[in-house]
Amino acid sequence: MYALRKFAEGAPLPNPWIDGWKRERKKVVGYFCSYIPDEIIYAADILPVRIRARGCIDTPMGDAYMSATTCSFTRCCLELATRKQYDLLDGVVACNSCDQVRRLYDNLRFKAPFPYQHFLSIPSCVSDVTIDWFKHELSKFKKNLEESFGVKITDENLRRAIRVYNESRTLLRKLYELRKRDDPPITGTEAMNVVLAGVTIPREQFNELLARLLTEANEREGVSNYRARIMLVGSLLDDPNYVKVIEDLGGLVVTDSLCFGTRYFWDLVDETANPLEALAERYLSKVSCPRMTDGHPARTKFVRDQIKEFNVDGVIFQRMKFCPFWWGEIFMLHRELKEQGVPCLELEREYVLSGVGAMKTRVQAFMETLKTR
Amino acid sequence: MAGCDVGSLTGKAVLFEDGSILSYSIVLTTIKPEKTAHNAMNEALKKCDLSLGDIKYIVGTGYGRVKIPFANMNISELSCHGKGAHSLIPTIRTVIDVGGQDCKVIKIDEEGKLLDFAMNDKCAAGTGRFLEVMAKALELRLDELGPLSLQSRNPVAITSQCSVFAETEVVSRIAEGAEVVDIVAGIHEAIAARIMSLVYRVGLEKDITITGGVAKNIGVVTCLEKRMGVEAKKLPIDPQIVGALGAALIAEMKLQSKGV
Amino acid sequence: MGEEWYKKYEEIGMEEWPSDFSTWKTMFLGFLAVAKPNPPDPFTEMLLDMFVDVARARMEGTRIIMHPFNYGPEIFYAMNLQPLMQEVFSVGLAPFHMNEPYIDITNQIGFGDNPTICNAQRPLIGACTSGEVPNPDLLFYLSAPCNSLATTYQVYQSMAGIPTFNVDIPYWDYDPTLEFYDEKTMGYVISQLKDLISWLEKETKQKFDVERFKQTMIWLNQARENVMEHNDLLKAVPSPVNSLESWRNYLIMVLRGGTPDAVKLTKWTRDYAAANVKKGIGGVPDEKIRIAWPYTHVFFDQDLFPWLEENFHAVTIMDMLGYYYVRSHDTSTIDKCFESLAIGTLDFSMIGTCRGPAEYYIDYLLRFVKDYKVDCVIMPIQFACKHVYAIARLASEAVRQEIGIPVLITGCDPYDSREVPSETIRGRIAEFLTQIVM
Repeated sequence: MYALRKFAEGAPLPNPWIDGWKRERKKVVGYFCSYIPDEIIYAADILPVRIRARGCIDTPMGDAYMSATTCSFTRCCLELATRKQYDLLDGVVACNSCDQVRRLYDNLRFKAPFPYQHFLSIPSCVSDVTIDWFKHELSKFKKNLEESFGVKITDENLRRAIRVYNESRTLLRKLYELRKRDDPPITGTEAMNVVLAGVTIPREQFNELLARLLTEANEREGVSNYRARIMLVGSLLDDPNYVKVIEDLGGLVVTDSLCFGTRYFWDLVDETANPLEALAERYLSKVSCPRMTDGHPARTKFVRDQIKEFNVDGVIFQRMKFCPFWWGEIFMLHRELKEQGVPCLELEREYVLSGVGAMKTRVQAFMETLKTR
Repeated sequence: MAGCDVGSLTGKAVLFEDGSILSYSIVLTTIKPEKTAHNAMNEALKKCDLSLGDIKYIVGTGYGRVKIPFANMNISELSCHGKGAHSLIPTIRTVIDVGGQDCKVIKIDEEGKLLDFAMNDKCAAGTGRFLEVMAKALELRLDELGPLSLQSRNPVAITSQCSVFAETEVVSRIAEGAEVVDIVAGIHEAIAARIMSLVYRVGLEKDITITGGVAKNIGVVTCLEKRMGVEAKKLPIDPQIVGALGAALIAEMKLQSKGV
Repeated sequence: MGEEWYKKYEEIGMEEWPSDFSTWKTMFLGFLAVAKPNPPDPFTEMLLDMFVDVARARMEGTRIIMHPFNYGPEIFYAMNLQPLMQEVFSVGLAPFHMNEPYIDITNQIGFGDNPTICNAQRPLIGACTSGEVPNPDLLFYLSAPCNSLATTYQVYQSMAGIPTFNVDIPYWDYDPTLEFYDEKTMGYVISQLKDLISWLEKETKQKFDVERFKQTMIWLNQARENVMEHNDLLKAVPSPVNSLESWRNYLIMVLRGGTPDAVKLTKWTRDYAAANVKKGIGGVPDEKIRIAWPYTHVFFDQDLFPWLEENFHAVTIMDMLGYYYVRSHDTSTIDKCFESLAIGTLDFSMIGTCRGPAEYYIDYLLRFVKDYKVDCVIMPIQFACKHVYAIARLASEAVRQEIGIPVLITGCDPYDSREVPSETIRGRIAEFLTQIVM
């Protein structure tokens, strides 16, 4: 399938699209978290790219500066930055997603600074007061971008960017709808590549490809030789090979709660409201991750709804080693789902795929506990 | 039919027919899982004068299960251990398998089917490796450790989480003049504690049995029974072959479902 | 005379306490036993009273509100609630190693492990399942300083089903030229604190008493003035107080801030320090080394500081909890009272230093080292403490570059003696002091 092939090409960093963008002498700014409204960056005609650290194998700098008991994703990012692997980025935007990312930002500023750096203070609970604060932070961010890059981000620019992003979200929702079928036209591995490409290549081109994928998907023969329908939940995961390990053992991933998954695109931005207000409201209230301290009941409800709507047989939780937020969240979610009788498996992992043998044993054993299809 | 369990330290094969074990084998692992599988199988076949072609269905399991060339299918060692233990004593619901390099706790239902599990295969603590390292440090034979530990009245607490540091701790205790018996008892308490943390994760349900190489260590078994407050059922066969037995039983089920 | 104060507590200790206060009572008796051989002092009485007050609140039906170690109790006192500082269950139990069984239970039920989630809050989850520790009626926490706190309290809230209120602490871009927080930041925190008050009104069915609040803030700021003077006195060489005495003010403010007790107690600590400075007496006889300790104590080893003082004549002038930015403010109007409350929230222990960019922590350390003529820096950091461990190296480099004094960073678990035992920690510090500092 043409579109799927293109998505696989667009998922990694760097890729031909980014090269093309840079050849036009346009700017690229990296960002760290699904809580950062990258529409604002896009509205400035700058390409927003979600930073990843694929290709990093060892982390001596990362370990030295951030300690070996810190999230491996952040250590890998620091490592690559000190090795000048992020030179394609003209800037970086971070936020207080978690302690590790905010300390990564500090270490980057001291040890491997970018030409442009900005930090967003994003609230950890939802109320009128916090939404207002977030709006204020976004307005500061917008002004900072304008001054640093010599551009003007008009209301019309923003509204347009929001429309384009909403288009992606709607299309991605449609794509996920197709996975509700008994024979979904795409696998979880392929779906992850799609979302990864979405945060890496220019948005309008992504939307075109996505629309094309939806047509191609309808003509494609669905996947039906799987053992179980799986929902994948957990920490930042950007490695389709991880999903492939699960799917190769017969666990077709039909939906998820992942950073590079539903948490990224599920909710739309209100196009009728003031753009910054609409962004603040949507990003703070979207399908959340455990950094939102008041969000656990809504997160549980989301997982339960997905299980029902996608006819999920079992949930696989994966958490990054040393991640406090996801350990707590999985601890709570696992107990709640267990009460409901939903089979669950907990996996621990590092950013760099390793221990595949051990992972396969657990996943295979988990498959064996599920009712055979 | 047959089951073949290629583990990280040993390879096992069980030949099975009409509800009984025809023969079994335990061989040392080689660097190639295929070779280990062949070695184990050949030895078991020789014992009852059969050849590979006589076996109608073979299920592979263990660490090297995907590499067993003559296996018709492979199943996780968790399911196999559960099935194997259950076939011997049908009241068993929890299987504690302590192998050379990993440790698992398996929960099964009344039919022997896998319900839940917890594993440690990331570090040596709580596995046979831990005992090996300690035996070497104390200049004792592995099979001496268990009986020796039972002689202590005052186990020395070994608190290091990591077996590498625990070894250092043991050496210090010896230098400080602690009794070897007491240190050995402390080592057994430590390994039991690590295994118990997996048991808690899965939840204890009677009846319980202990399998794997370390099941032959009377010291570990005694410590575990004390901590669990219940006696572990002893299986009537060598605990190391339970996985291969389970695999053979699943082979039988597969054959039956195929109507052969 | 000494007998009487002790007897009063002894009698309370012999009464029956509510059943889920069994560990609480054991702690009380433990502290009492430790205090017995010493002459009475108001600080020890304050600690003992804390145990009694919480138990009494339960028996009399006063609502108990649990709050974290980095938020002062003034609002709660102003609204007739009994505050309960959560970390008493880890910090208070650690010297007796009584938190370790709770850590083990928490490990067993599968919530976190040592290098992932800090043991300052984790024992609470184990204790919650064992029923030996009282559940409060209300729960309050902040998003700062760290994720361990935020995740553990979420789990606790979920397990115990207690009505909870969160306050989000802004990160706030770093600007070294600003002495006071900008209007937007102040407004953000004040609005949330007012929301907190509305929530408390709803939960307690009590109206917020503005006059009482104003009085609370007056007392709070009087106490703050005493603490400011005390902090200034610490600059003297030799230091007028010893290591354990220097962090008393923090405990006074976090347990009694906003009450007349805090005013009295902080005056007492101030007067004590002032008298010593006047007489030229050092808290540690023959002081040789002045240590900055920009982290928490190693709580399970209460004798560590006395050991350092005895063997190395080393005084630890500050630690991260004991020493924080204290400012006193105008409380003439209600609006000014709220500003004072908000600034205090942002400035408090570990919030001021840890909620923002690395510079907050580094500048705090550099400023202290310069003003207090420090000889060396020791940081025994919790393995799970991402937000400090991940900038410790940056801080150490800054100290060595700008001031040139040696820095020791050593990993441990300040709450669990089994992780890195006290002999190892003492050994590392001893080596550092003998080889590098002296």
